[in-house]
Amino acid sequence: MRISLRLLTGFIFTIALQAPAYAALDLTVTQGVSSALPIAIVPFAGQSDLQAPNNVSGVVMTDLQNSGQFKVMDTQSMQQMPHTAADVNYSYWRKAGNDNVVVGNVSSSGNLSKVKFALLDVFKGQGQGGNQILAQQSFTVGNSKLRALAHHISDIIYQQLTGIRGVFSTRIVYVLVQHGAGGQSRYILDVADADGYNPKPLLVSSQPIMSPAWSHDGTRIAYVSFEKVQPKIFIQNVITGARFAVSSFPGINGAPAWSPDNNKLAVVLSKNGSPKIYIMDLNSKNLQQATFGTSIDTEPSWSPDGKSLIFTSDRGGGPQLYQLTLGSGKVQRLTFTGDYNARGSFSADGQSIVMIHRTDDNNYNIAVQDLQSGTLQVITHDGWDTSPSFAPNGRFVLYESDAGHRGVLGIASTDGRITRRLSTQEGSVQDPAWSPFLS
Amino acid sequence: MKKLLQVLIISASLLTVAACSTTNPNGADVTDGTATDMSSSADDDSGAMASGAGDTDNFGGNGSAMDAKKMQVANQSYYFDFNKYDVHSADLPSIKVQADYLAIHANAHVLLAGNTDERGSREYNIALGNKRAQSVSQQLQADGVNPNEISTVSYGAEKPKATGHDAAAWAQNRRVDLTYQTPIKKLKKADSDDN
Repeated sequence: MRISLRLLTGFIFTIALQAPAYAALDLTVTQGVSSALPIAIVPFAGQSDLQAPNNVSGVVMTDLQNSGQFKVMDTQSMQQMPHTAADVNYSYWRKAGNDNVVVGNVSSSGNLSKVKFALLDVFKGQGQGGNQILAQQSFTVGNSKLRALAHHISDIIYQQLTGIRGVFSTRIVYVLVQHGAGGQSRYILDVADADGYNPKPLLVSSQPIMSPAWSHDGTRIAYVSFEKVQPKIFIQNVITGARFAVSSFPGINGAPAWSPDNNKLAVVLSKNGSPKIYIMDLNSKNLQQATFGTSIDTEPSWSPDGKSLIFTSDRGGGPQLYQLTLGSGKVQRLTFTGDYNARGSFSADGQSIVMIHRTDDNNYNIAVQDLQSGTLQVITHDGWDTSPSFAPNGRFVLYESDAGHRGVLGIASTDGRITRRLSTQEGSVQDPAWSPFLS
Repeated sequence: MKKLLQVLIISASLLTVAACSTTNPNGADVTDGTATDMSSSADDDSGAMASGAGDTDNFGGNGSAMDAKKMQVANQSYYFDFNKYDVHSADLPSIKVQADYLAIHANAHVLLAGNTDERGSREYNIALGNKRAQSVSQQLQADGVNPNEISTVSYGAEKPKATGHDAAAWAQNRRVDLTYQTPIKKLKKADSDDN
């Protein structure tokens, strides 16, 4: 006999677009910045307020400074303010200790702005051979896109000077939790720029939302929603907002992970008892069990070549990371340092994995393990860090940190030299994940 | 060697973002992003399970009668050790009391909601809460309960009962809540009134 149950359903509704303001909480440099590249970004002509969100040179300065790989000259100390390459006095900028100078100007008419910039090499500019202009471009964009253009310019500068693709134009997804009066909570699935700006809600619910995961083309996000009390996995189109449920089996429907070709989703189901990893073909909806036994198996993540999954399992006692080779079904333990390692995921080059690692002092921090050597390095030290994911260029790790028992966004350099945390007054941030490259 | 330098930045980021139209240079617009299946979410009840309290009016003891309540047919909480999902042997008698009632009342139904403390990985905690609920479920079944009378859900660390951040709060949150989904009938006439 079926029992009639009162349905406690979560509410899904549109909310007015109201962007919470993120504030930099702290920037911690745990090692000398001797390797940071000294650069001067001269405030561009045509824009006066460096702090304004659409101030191009101000955004570029913040981007490069926050990357930890640049030592950005303080604008107060600049005794010259050139705006074109022709006006640059290279010996002045060399004496001020810079290797590179960025100049530019912004001219607006109506809703459009024309932005010109140049990245200059100070040594070559002093006549040491070669073209001093490393990059020079001009753009015409709508005024509302000036901040996005600034991130694009940051990407150009970053790639030119480090040889590595920048991630300033990528995005992040996270769950924002707001606890209201009377014990009611609101869970918002937000997509925002990589620096926390421009958050856009994809979903608002009165029940928990968890584990958002980007498809590798950046167009869709899979996530777990408890909106109907029992969890389901949804896939939502980031552009249109359209969504559908892909997994609603009895018990856990959790930890979705996209295969590199986006055709499959690894999920965690407990429909047959213990939480186990299954692989769902998104086209045929065919479901295949991938791990077996009575242990907890969860948090699958695909290797970039699609040939294996890493996952968390307590088959050896406590949670550790294991690797499943999909062809053979062979399972191999990957982590041996410490008694709690969980939520592993690969870097884009497949050379390393990032995870939650409990340190000897019972703190939960983020660690990176080199797969070749097996060496594990703890890269964050806040003690409550969780949900790590690599930036698409592998240089940074996004994670959930904790400040005053409120979840905040944390960004660490993969080498552990720098951590930066961003806070919002609007709630607690959970389960952030970094998008792939979007262009 | 390692120098700790903390810099508090009070900067542009404090400003409210004003721009409403925000296409990134790649054209990947996010719309004002509401899910489109609002209608289906309202009436599709597949897999949904109310976590409403059962009728405990007949067993209204509180506070001082904690141990007595454990041995009554009533909503219960069973606690677990850190990172463990084996039922405390001290809870077995209380589970047996619930099992005996459920075995007799074939139409009764309980929800077992597994929870964890806030530490560690969110999805691992979901799995841990599931295993805790499964442990209680298995004990009920070992005591003669039909599995159709049992539903489980895991909230992991997402719905803490104790909101503190210390050992006492964590102990409170490593828990399975057994909640009757059907009114509890008085035991005196239980043997004959429910078939």
